[in-house]
Amino acid sequence: MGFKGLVCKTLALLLLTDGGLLTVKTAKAEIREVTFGVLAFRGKEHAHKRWGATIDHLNEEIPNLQFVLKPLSLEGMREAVAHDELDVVLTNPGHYVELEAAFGTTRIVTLENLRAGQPYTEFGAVIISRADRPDIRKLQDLRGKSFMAVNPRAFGGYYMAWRELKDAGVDPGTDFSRLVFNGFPQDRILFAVRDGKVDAGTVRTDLIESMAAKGLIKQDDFRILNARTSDGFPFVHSTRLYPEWPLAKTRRFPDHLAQEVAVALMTMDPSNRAALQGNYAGWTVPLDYSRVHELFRALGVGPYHSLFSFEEVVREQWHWGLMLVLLIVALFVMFAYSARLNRELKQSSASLQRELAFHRKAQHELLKLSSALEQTADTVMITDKFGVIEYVNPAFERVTGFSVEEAVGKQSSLIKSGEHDSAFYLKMWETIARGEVYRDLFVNKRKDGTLVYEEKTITPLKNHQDEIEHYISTGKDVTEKRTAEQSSRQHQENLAHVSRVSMMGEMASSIAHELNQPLAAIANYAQGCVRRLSGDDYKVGQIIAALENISQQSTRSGEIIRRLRSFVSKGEPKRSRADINQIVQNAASLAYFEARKKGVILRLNLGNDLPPVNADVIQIEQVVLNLIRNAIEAMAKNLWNKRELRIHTWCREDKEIEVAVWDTGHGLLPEDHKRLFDAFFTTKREGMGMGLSISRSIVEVHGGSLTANNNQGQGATFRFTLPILQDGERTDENDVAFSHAS
Amino acid sequence: MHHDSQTIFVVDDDHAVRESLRWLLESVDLPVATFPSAQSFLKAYKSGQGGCLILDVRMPGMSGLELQKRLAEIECVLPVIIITGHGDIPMAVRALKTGAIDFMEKPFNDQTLLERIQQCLDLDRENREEVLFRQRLQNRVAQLTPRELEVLDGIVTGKLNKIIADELGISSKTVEAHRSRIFEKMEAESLAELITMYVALESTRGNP
Repeated sequence: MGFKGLVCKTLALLLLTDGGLLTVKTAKAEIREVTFGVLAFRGKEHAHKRWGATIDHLNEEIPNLQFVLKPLSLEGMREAVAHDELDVVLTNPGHYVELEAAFGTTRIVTLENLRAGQPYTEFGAVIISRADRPDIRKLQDLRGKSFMAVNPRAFGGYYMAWRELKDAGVDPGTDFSRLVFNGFPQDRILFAVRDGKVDAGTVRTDLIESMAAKGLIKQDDFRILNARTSDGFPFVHSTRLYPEWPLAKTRRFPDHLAQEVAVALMTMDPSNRAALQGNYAGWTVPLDYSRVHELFRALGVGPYHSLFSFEEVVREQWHWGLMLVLLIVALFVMFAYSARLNRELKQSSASLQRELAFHRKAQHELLKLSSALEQTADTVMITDKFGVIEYVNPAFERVTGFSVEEAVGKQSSLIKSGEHDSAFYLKMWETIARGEVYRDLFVNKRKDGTLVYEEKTITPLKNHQDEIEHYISTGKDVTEKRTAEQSSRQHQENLAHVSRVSMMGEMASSIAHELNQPLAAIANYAQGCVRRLSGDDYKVGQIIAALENISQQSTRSGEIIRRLRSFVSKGEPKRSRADINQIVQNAASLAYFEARKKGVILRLNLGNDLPPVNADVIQIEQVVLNLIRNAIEAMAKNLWNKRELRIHTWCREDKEIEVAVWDTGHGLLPEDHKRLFDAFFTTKREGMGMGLSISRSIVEVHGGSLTANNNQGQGATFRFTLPILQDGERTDENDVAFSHAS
Repeated sequence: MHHDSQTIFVVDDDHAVRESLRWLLESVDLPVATFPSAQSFLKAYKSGQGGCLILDVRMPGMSGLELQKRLAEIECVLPVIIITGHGDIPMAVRALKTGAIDFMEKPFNDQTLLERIQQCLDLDRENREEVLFRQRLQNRVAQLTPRELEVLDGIVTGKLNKIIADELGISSKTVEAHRSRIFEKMEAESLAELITMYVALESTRGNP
């Protein structure tokens, strides 16, 4: 809890100091509806009141999604997920684990609940009786007594208590004189125990405290059985603690949208209206729900009840039945249709068919020729040899906003935007004046002053004397494509940034350790100097050498800090000519701290004279660092074997650079292999489970690929490729159009 | 200020930390030997060499804590100071349990470090002097005959010559003769001294 809290705080702090607004604004016009199912254990009205503002927040932060709240009961939610009616679900941990096992629902964030004004990511339950019952002091005393819980499938309201009772040798099914399920709210259980209607009951932690604070009950009236306390958790509890409610995505909700939801929630401020109204502190990286699995296993309920329930089998079969009926109907319709076609075909003669085809073709050709220019989606402009416009087609009118009347007779510079320098136009004129075809991306200006990106081809038209008389310019409007590309690059960078910051948060402690090394050396050198200079037996040359070491070590500390800052900085995604070995060395120096701490030997085996790549240096560094950290993590449990990590770089077939990260860890399990690159998939306790998914998308955007496989002996190797920079390829450094547009 | 044959052994994989410690310790005339890894130290160390060991806990290959275990195995009695860049309480507890006499976080105050090193060197000297003293005593005891050993047991438990003579079935005079030879061989000046020697030996025997 302590460490996790620290990581989250570091993350939040870094985000704040960076001033980073991580809202992802996509320019796509289409709005997708997202059904947000929430477990409404206190009724629909209460659910709307508590989560309404959270829905508003998501709608504001992610404009291309329209979130709709759907309060549901436990059974209702299961039903809705089974019928694919929901995109995301917010429910209790027990119910989540059931949904995960049955329908592949995946958690994306965990709620940081607010209790007594403090944020907590765990909760438990209390088992209570009246304080003045001398016969009930421990759990075993509950045999033969009456017991009240909220719902037979409530997680905090029943299962948690059941598990402790079971451990104490009490079987709720047979040992109680009466087992009553009273329904929500849990408040009524407290009243029933107080008023002696039942002997004992269970409610979730902090309910007694909060009701006592409102003056509804007296805390002293109750005895808490099996009472225990935990570090960092202020409320007495009878059961183990379990992680708070997760927000999870269903199978039908795509990963990239789930990532947007995660980012929007995790960057939420505690003072946000959504948090205040929802009575929570925020959202954090998804926790480990294996404790919940353990509970279900221990009780033999939920996903461990039985593999197939009768009801489910019937439902499955029913679907197949329906499909079969549909198939038969479809087949029948097709048979009928083809029989009719056959009849018709026989009726018409072959010659008639030939004539008809000929006529149709001729007619079609004519139509095509006459309307080609008018109909085409590409803009067409014809000028005389001086650049005076003689003809524009309707697409031109549509794209530029200038009508035929406004354009004809004007110079073609009518649509010049000023985004290109004169050298650009000079090169164009030189090319077409020579009689050659010119192709390039033009940034032009519409009538309303906005910019339009066109991929243009300008062809000189010559007369019989081989003199140029006209130029014909055709253009394809790629403005939308470019905006979409930019916005998806922006989106990816936002995600990558969140992940980098969270990675640095996790590494904070080992980085602090590493920063102490040069600081210790500086202190030692300085103190050694003071002692020598205080005496009289010293050589000036030695003192100078020590001072030089001090200066070197302070540069080394500065370098560590600089590298960190640039790593967590949030710049425009920028491609430049880059040296892959330099990138690998940078990442390795950030990871060296952690490797050292975990006793891992890090070896770099870098190819000589590798050609440059066109890459966003920070993002590729992130990929390498992520792979290194995964490898270190995989070797952490390696008690007997050597912990060694090797990174190779080389050039393959003069086409691409390959980087391989080789480890001696536990390797990949066959069942994990498939989901390895899915967002939110993780086998670690800490972390978002986004590292590999982000790494793969970064590499793919760069035109490469990321793969993983097990080594012959031990461990695994992750490899990624990047295409080498071609002569004349654009980088963001020389791409004028791009930098103007951003 | 220090014992002639005492060396400060510094084991840290960080070159700068290692060499800066050398610079600091040599400023107070302490002999220093530095090693980049636990393995290289183990290779170079000869049993019986005196001084103290300054160890970084986190190193690839073999950690400082593992090295401590290995040292115990080869009966190396060098006092150990553990240094760390970023320590936590469980790690400090483990270090002290395996016999380190101190646990310091980098960067450290030179005064404190030098004081701790001085304590270590004193401890090391005592340790080794005690070892030498015991060795000498063992050599002397080895010269005693079985009968003399029996008489010695009697003397140190405070029995009178007559009683020893009765128990062993010999004359008081013979006991007297054994007694003076025992004092001679053990080089003891007084009964008190002989008893001190006996106790020192007993503790060795009881605590091998």
